[in-house]
This record gives sequence, C-alpha cells and structure tokens, in this order.
Amino acid sequence: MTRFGLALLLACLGTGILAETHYPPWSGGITAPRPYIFTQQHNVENRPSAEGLVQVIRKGYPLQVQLPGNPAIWAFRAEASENVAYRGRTMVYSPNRIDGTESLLVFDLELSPEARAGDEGRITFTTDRVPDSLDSVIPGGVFVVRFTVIDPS
Amino acid sequence: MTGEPLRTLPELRSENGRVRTQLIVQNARFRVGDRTLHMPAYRFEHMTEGSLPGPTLRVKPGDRVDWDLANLITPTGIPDGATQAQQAMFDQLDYTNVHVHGLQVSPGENHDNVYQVLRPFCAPACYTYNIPGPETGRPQPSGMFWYHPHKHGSTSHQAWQGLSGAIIVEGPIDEVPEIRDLRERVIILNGLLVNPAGEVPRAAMVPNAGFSPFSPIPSQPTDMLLTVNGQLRPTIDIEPGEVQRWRVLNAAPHRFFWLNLDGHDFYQIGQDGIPFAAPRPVRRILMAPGNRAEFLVKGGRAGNYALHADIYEQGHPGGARPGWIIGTVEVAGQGRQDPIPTQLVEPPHMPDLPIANSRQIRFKGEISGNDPAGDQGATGDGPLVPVKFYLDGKVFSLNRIDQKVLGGTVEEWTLINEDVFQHPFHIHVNPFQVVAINGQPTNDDTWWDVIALPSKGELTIRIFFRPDVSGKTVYHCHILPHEDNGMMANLFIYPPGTDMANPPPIPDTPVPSGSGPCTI
Repeated sequence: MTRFGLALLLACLGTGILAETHYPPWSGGITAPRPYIFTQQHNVENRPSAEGLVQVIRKGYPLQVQLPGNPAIWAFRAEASENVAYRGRTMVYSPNRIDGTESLLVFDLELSPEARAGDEGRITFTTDRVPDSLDSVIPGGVFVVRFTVIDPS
Repeated sequence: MTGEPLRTLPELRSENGRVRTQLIVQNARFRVGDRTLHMPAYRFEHMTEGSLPGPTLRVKPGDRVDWDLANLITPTGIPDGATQAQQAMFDQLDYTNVHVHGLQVSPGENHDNVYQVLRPFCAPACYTYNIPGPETGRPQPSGMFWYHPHKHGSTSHQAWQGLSGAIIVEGPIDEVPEIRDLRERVIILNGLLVNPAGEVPRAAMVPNAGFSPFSPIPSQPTDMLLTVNGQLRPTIDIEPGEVQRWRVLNAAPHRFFWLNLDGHDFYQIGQDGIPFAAPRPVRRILMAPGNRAEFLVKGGRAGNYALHADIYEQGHPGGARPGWIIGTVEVAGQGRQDPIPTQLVEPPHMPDLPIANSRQIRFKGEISGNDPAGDQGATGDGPLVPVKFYLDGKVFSLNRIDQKVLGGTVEEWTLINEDVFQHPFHIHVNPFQVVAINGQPTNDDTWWDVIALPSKGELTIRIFFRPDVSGKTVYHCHILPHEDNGMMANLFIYPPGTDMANPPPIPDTPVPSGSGPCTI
C-alpha cells in the first residue's frame, strides 16, 4: 500500500482520541511559527472516505488554507465556520499545475481568541465554479476542515 | 555575521582494497541553528554517534566494499492525537535499504539492491559492491558518488531526515599536480522538512506554496532547513589566491540548488562523479536533487562572500523556490597564488556503436488529489489519492518490467516532460550523455546520472549499458516525493549474447512480508 493509501486510511479512522492524551511541548526555537496548511486534499466535506479526519491544532500557530483557483474564486464562509478568524487572501501565480486553474488562493486565518483546549472548530470555503479537476476532491465546491484545539503549553 | 566553521564529515577509507563495516541508521539528536532535531542518522561501525549527514566513504576503483545495513530507527514525527493503530499505518516510513548512487555495480541481491526492505530491528542486510577496476576496461570514474535510502514509499521521508552520505572514488584526477595537494571540502546540501518538534512528520505529504513546500495529512506546521554539512549558514575559510577543491552533493529530495558565490567563479572539474578533460569556468551551477558538482574555487580579495542557493523556478505550486544564503566564504590570511590546472584527465568515451534501440519515456504528475488510485486515467469510486506521478501513464509496480535492454549496447532515450514540474531523470548503474534538448543537438560530452527535464519539453539521452553488469534495477524521477508516489519503473539489463527476440523470463522479485519492527 502506498503512503497515500495509508493516509486515506488514517483519514477514515479519524483522530477522536483526544480526551486522555498528553502532548509534549514543541520547542522548535522558531521566531515566527509556521502555519498549519490545509489544501484541497484535507477537505472532508461530501467525502465519505475522509469525513472522520479531524485536525488537531495547537494554540499559538497560524492557519492557512490554499486552494487552486482563478477563474474559480473561493470565499470564506464565516457563518459556516467556528472558532476561526479570517485574516486575508493572497492570489499566488501558479499556472499549469492543476488543470483549469491559474493561481493558488492563499487564505490566512487564526484560531479565535476565545478558542480553548478541547474546543472543536470548522473552516469553510465555497465556490460556485468548482473546476472539473477538483470535482471529486471538493465535491459541490464546498471545502471544510474540522479541527480540535489543544494547548500543550 | 558569519556562522560556525564548516564541519568536516567523518570518513572511512578503504585499506588494501577492502572496506568491511556496518552502516548503522539510528535515531539521534542534532543541534541545527537554534533548534534540536530528532531523526535517524547514519554511522559506521567504528563511530560512537551518528552524523548529519552521514559519514564519507573513500574507495578506489577495484575495491570491494562490504557493509551490513542495520536499521535501528524508532518512530518520530507522530501527528498529534494519532492512536497506536494509526501510527502503525505509517510503519513503512521506517523501513529502509541503501543505494550507492552512481556506482557502476551489480544491482542484484546482496549488491545495490533497491528492492531490499529492511524493517527496524530485523537482522542486518548485507551489501557487497565490487567497484569496477582497470581490469574491466571501464573503471569506475574518480569523483563524488553517494549513498542514501531507496525503499520505495519512504525514500523522501528519509531524505528529509538527512539520510545521505558521500562516496569518494579516488583515481587519476587526484594525481593532477595542481589538484593533488589542494584543500578539499566534501559538502552535502540537505533539505530537512521538520515540524516544530524538530522531527519529520510521519504522514502523507502534499505540495503547497510557501517557504516550506509540503504539508502533511493531517497537518502539522513544517519548516524547511537548507543545511550545509548539517549546519545553517556555516563559514568556509580560504586564503586569498588559494585554490580549494569542493565536492558538492545535492542530497535534498526536492529542492534544486542554483549555486553561486559572490565575487567568485567556479572552475568545474566534474559532474556526477565523472571528471572533465579540462576545467570549465562557470558563474553558477544548477544542481537538481541527486546531482553532484565538483569544482575549484580560488579565493579572491580578503572579505566575506555569500554562498547562495538562488531563487529557482522548478515548477512547484506557488512559483519559484525562494533564494537563500546557505553559507559564507571568508577570505583571509597571507595570500598565495595557486594555479588553476589547464588539463585534467581523459574522461570516459561513449563507445562508437550503432544505436541499438530508441525509446520514449513520458513523465506526468497529478497533484489535484482528484483521482482514484491506479494508473493514469483510472476511474472508479475508490478513495482518492492525494498525488500521483506516472512514467508512461503508469505508477511503479514491483514486478512489471518496463524496459528490457542488452548489456554492451548503446541506446537513445527521449524523455518527454508533460509537466511544468522539472522532473530530474535518474537511472541506476549506467551514466548517460544528453545529445539533444527539444530535438536540438547539444554537442556536449558531459556525463550525468541525474538530469532535470525542461518544463513541457524533452531531452534525448544516450546510454551505454556496460556489458559486465546485468540484472533488474530502476529509473525514476529524483524528486523523491514524485518517485515515492509512482514515478519509478523497472529496467532489466540482459547480459551480452542474449537473444532479445526471445529473452529468458525474469523471475519476480519477492513481495516483502511482515510488518512493523522485528522483536527486539
């Protein structure tokens, strides 16, 4: 089985084992923490094989969603999101990587200030022009990442 | 501000034509910049601790090397919240083997066998390499080669952990008077993809834009450390007018290094371990993953000069990989006037034989995550695969023989890149020359064992399959996440005299059995 096949199995099983788990602190020594990045492959919406995948996010790290687009444009859906705050969009030139898209839309986000360890959250983006090249991985043009917040510090 | 002095990597040299050791890979901790990294590292039997990157092996043509690979890797980079069962799904990322990249040795069992699968704490695997000597009529060229893991599916993970080491084959070029006594630097460039714990994520990876080019599923923050002999921005000292010999390896699994040194030219004397007839002055050298470049550097005026990995567009999502200063050259001291040689050695020649066969190989990747498992065009309702990479529309299959060739013949292969990604082609055992780019002749006799294909373009290469090495081996893209996700194929080299119209059957390579570590 390939490593990606394994990843899909992992996604199927989900990560619902948080309550009794202790997490070691990360002491990376970085001055500017790198983000958790989510791409179309992290989408769980309308994907039975991935719907159990819950991201585990440590407080203190930025979040980023990167979705192929142009001409498709992705929009953040605050009403369908939870415990996350939107911090802007950049369109990055990225032609000929994925059919029907010329750019990557890079969205900066962060956990809401009120998010606490154990809280669950949700990030939602939509488009009304999902390219054919993404119609299976983001069915219906709805991208969702579900997450749980932890705070090992 | 300059960094710490460049490390000299530990070495093991053959004695009386032999090397006998264990190559041990075991977890260790390393201080890199302001971080502590925790990852497997290579060491030889006589060493008490691992080295990031691995120690150097020095041999000569005609030597015999025997080493037993011992896999003592324990898991690192485990995603937050993963259960034991979920962790076990990625056990194969700790399976390993070892490939001697560029050595023209047998690919068979107990030799340079990349089909070997060694699980942690199982009995060591034995490898023997008979390095071609003068008696073969085609000795191993004298230059820089290297060793690294080649277990399909875990190759990129282990390269991101820095598992790599140099093999220096000493020979005629080392006797060139202007070179013989030079200070020599063995320099290994790595790209370490680490999470904030200093570990490589134990997960599937997908490409993204930004400084760190890959994200795991499930996600972890990652950073990319471009290290030089395991150090961030080390300082290399040289005197004004001193000539040094640098042997540089790009051991990163993904990043191209477009090297240049402020205020200095490079005098290249070899490519991929094969020396030139004369030095070639160049301003910059592009190194795809797996490439080696050997060159002379002559210290200029006293001062500090930045060594750059320039910004380079290799086709990754989000555009060019960013430029980065990877080191400093400090020119200081008395000063001298070392000469640059005008002649080196006679490089190997392509035999004057008719082209026995011409082939086309097509490279294509799919990074949308929109396709189910299988070859190009696969359909069905199965789980989607995050990325797939094809050679001739197919992903790697252990016992499908994709090309059958005859030892002792010359072939021309046209490598067609249907992607914007610049796939670096690598073939085991035999090096090659590039005879045309997009159909236009190159008139270039440089030998390569890794060559980056142009975006949406093609190269035609000419290969001589040496007659004294036969067996099953591979060719693949040396962007290792591409290789791990399908872009590799099998090649079988028949010995001279084989009736290629009716070649004998090729026995299957046994499918590895068992999983997880052996009992300690």
